[in-house]
Order: sequence, then C-alpha cells, then structure tokens
Amino acid sequence: MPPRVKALKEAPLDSWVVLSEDETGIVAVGQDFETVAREAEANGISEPVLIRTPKDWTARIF
Amino acid sequence: MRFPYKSWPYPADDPLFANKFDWSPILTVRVSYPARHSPPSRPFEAWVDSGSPHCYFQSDVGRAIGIRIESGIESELGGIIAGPKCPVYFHDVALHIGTEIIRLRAGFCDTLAAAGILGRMGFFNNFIINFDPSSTPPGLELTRILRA
Repeated sequence: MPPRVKALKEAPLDSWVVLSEDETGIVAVGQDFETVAREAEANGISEPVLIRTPKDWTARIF
Repeated sequence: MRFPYKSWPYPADDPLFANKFDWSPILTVRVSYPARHSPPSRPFEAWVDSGSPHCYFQSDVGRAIGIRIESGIESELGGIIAGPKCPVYFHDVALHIGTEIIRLRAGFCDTLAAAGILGRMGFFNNFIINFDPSSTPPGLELTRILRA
C-alpha cells in the first residue's frame, strides 16, 4: 500500500489536508483552506497541495 | 502533458476493499478569478470525471480567491445515488493545469465530497484525454484542443 494511502486514512475526515512532499505523513490539517496552507508553509512545505478528505471512505462515484 | 494517477484509500472495513487502494485520475490544479484579477489559488487535487457535466469546486477554494460564492448563478447538484441536492453557484473562472489555462464557468458547492471535479464542460471539451492503464501507476495524458 502506498504511504500516501496510509497517511490519508490517518487524516481527519471532511477536512483540508496537506501531506509531506514525499506523501508519507500529514503536515497540516484543518477546516479552513487558507489556514491549512499557511500552516503547511510554516512547517516547511514551499508549495502546499491541498487535499479534501471525504466524510467517510465509502467507495464513491463522482 | 502526462500525469500519473494518484493513490486513494478504499474503505478498510469493507470485505471487497479491505487494505486495498485505488489508482485514481486526480490532477493538481489551481483556479483564478479573472473578474477580480485574482492570483491563482493554492494548488489542490481535483478528480477527472467524465460523468460530471461541469467542473465543480469546493466553495472554500473560491472564497480564498475572492469569489462571493452566493452571488453566482444558482443551481443544484445531485449525485448518482438518490439523496438531498445541494445548492451550487456558478462563476466564470480560469482553471490552471500544468502550463495550460482554461476559461470556464464552474460551480462552487459547500458540500462537495472532493476539492474539485473536472467534468465535461470546461475540461473534457478542451483536451484530448488518454487514460493509460498500461503502467503502474497508470497515467493520464492531456493534449490541449486549440480552436481558431
């Protein structure tokens, strides 16, 4: 299983998340898009990519 | 432009999917709001979805670049499974994918289950898209359609 999957499953649901650059762990998490990005920058990520976790990990049709 | 798929969790407690994951066509994109000359948003992950008629984004993304979400053209958004619909507000934005910038009318929704959905109007009508499952991870190749 890719480390990214493990990191995402450990993240809070229904939240904005930024992973580390190697996608092995969570660098910032929260409910506000911009605040989470700033927290990630403060934690050393130069260009944070924001991911929205779902309300649950149900297999989903978009 | 070729982009590798990204891994995405499956439900852990489902016997069909336990400890498995999915390679998914997820792109890192940005949006900007030309009407306000906004700089592009922070990059975020959006799902490529040919089943969606339009592109949709979480309202948070729009608010972060100065869009007054509720001032847009109001519509509704529902899913393939019966359930409550949610309000969606359309605005004219620019979508940034790699080096490409596309103007489109996109919907913004507070309760979208992803940060972004890249659908037919705005995304699929602007690219020739090759879904290539022959490698691990699979990849997505985009060729911009240039119209006179």
